[in-house]
Amino acid sequence: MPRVPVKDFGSDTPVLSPLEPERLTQLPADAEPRAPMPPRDAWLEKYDFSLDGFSALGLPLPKTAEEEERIVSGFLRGLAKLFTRENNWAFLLPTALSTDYCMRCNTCNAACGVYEASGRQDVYRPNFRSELLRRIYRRYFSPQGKLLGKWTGAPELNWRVVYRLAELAYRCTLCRRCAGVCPVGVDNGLLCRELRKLFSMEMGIAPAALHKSGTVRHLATGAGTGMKPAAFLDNLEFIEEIIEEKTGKRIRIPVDKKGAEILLVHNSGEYLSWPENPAAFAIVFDAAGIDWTLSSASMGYEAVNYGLWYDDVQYARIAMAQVEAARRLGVKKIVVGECGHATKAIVTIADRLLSGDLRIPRESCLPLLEEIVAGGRVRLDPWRNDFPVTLHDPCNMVRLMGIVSPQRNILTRILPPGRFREMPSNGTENYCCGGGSGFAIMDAYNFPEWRNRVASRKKAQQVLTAFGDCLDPSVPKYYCAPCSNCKGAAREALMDCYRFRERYNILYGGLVELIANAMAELPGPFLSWETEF
Amino acid sequence: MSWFFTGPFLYAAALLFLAGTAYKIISISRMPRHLRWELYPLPRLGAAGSRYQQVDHGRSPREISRLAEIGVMAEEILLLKKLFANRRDLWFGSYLLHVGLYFSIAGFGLVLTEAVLVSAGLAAAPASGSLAARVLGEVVIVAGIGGSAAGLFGAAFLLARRLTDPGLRDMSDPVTFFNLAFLVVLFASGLLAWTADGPLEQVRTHMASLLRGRPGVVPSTSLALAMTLSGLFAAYLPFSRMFHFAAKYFFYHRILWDDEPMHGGTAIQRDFAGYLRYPLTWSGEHLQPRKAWSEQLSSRDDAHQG
Ligand code: SF4
Ligand code: SF4
Repeated sequence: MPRVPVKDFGSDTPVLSPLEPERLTQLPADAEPRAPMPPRDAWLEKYDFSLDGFSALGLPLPKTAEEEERIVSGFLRGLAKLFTRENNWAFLLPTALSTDYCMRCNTCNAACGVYEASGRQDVYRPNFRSELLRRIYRRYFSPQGKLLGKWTGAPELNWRVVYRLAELAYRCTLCRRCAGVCPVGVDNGLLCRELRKLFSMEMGIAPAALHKSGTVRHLATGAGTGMKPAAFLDNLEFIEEIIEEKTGKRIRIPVDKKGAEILLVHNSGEYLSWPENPAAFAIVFDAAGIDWTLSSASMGYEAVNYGLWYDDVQYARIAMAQVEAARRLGVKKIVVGECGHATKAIVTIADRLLSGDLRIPRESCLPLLEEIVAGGRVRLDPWRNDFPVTLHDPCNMVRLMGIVSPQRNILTRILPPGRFREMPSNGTENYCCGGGSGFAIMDAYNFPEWRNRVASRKKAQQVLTAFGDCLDPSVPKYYCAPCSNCKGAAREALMDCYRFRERYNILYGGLVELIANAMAELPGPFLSWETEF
Repeated sequence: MSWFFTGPFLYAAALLFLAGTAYKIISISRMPRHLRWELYPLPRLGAAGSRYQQVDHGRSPREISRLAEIGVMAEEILLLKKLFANRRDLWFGSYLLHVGLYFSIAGFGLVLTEAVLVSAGLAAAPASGSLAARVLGEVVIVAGIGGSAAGLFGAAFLLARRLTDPGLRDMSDPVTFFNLAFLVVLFASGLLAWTADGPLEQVRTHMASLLRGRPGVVPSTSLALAMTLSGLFAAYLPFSRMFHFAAKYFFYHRILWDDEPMHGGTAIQRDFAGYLRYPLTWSGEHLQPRKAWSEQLSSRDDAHQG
């Protein structure tokens, strides 16, 4: 097994740690996708693929020594700023402690789905990128480092180190599973995010999907998808039609209702990719008599906040603008639909940024859905969901917010006995879907290949294990992922790459759709294995 | 020379340890509060779990079980539970190393306490042969020998693992090896000293002389060496990554278990209002150089240009 010591990270081998498909963990033979596509020659001439043969960032190869020098000096400048109060008060303490107190015990390694799925390739160890960060920081910014020089174990700093490190910051889903097992409390996920931040905030390096067509577009148009208010309203009309088709009843989705009890905010991708999800919310809320509204104001109908994954300023700009939209509407509280990162971004991470009249209560939709289901506010017939269901725990809502029981309490009430099966490693010990930290929407160059094969691999294994006794396609099965990004990853990896739908007849979707499907008052099933919405 | 290392040098080492510990703890405590970054489960929330599992979580009272939290801390400190659960192959060595440290520190603490009490006239001098002095003497010897042996075995085991396991070796920087080697030498010297002739009396006498401010000469070379190395270790500890024993408090209480929501008019809110006034000097094109955070955040129109 080729080894990559940290100090050799800047070596001039064309590809430092090529992903070796034969080392990936085993899946059942029929679940293995076709052979991976190598990067195109045209890309290789222009962009850096030298970490593992994949590129998430499309970093243009430097052409002159000055360009190389600029890359290195920009990185060092950013690294210094990462440890200053003025530039990084938002995460200085966790960054400094995680930098200083790792014991190099590698306990975190086995906890990482990426590292495990890759067949334990050195560069994907959770502490590998952290170790680079801390060794380089020590070497260049501490008195001992200046004395010890290469005895710090830091690689010779060159543009390759910087570019590879930037790419490596996008080989971690920020799931923080590793932090949960670290005996010290070191958080490699956090350090990875800090690296991303350094690259974005100092060097302008970030995946286009997160920055240019992510947060920048979000702030410019009001939604990460670029959906303008008029298009949003059109989508709602379409959803009302779906609802009428499914229920035989015309529901008027409340929009911009001043002073409503609840402002429900979805990931705007739902309207485009999974309209059945906002439709199911409308059906359930309407039947339960909830006083709710959507907002058609710019920033008011978009829950995502991609800034969370790579840039503090973009993050805070979006969070504050979203809450401001709710304030203008005078709602009593904000409830975030089925989107994990969006829930965490606005409920907990933004908590200390919001003051004065922006302190509007904010919560996840899951406890509310639990209250509706458990409180008998809709009539349910669990036998309408008479098929095996397994549940994915979105990291952001489960490990990072502790929301574990509501979704389970719902499932036990809306499924017949014995139909719900947990995945191995569930709850706060779950594995990421592979789409975390932006991966679900990052589709540049050959990055999706890496995401599907490596980052989502563990989830593929878990789903197959959960349905191990009924994989035969004659049995319809439901993979319940109450999060838009997790559904995005399911679509790309589990369905398109591993072809779970064709091979095993596994349908994926959210939780609220299952609730709607169990509603006794609906004339027929809400979910369908035959037709798409 | 020996007098210097077991006398003035030990004073300097103790001073460095205290000053270094205070400096580190104060500088960590003074770091700004950060944005929320907790990781569940939070032990003190007990079986009820996260408040975010409730509708209107802000309105429900927070039930906190300090006992559950202390229980988890005790398991971690006394048993190294996370390592046991997740890296069993290192646990035994690491456990012995930690037990070795706990025992050695306990032995030192007992001798120091005794010397303080004797010098304050609150206890009989060890030479009196009182029952208390004899029992304490036995306990110190057991702690000294047991601690050094456990520590030596643990540190040597971890060093050997680190040298032979490719994953551990590759992820270790030179300081990691240095620290383990230092611990091996330190515990070996301790074992040597405690198993030589009459170390207890010499330790007691020397401790008393140090407390009086008139350090004597330690007759035993092995004991003098162990004392010197212990001083060196104490002086180095706060500046090394082995200070994780103290940093862990902040890792857990200030980061991973900190789910304190912000309320209006509180210190948290005042602090954050202050941070937002800091000027930011990141150079990204989407930022406005040297403007305060609060201005960056209210500058959505500029950001729109992308
Ligand atoms: S991050 Fe924690 S678990 Fe991983 S090597 Fe460092 S101390 Fe060990
Ligand atoms: S945060 Fe998750 S993906 Fe990233 S290193 Fe840790 S375990 Fe691996």
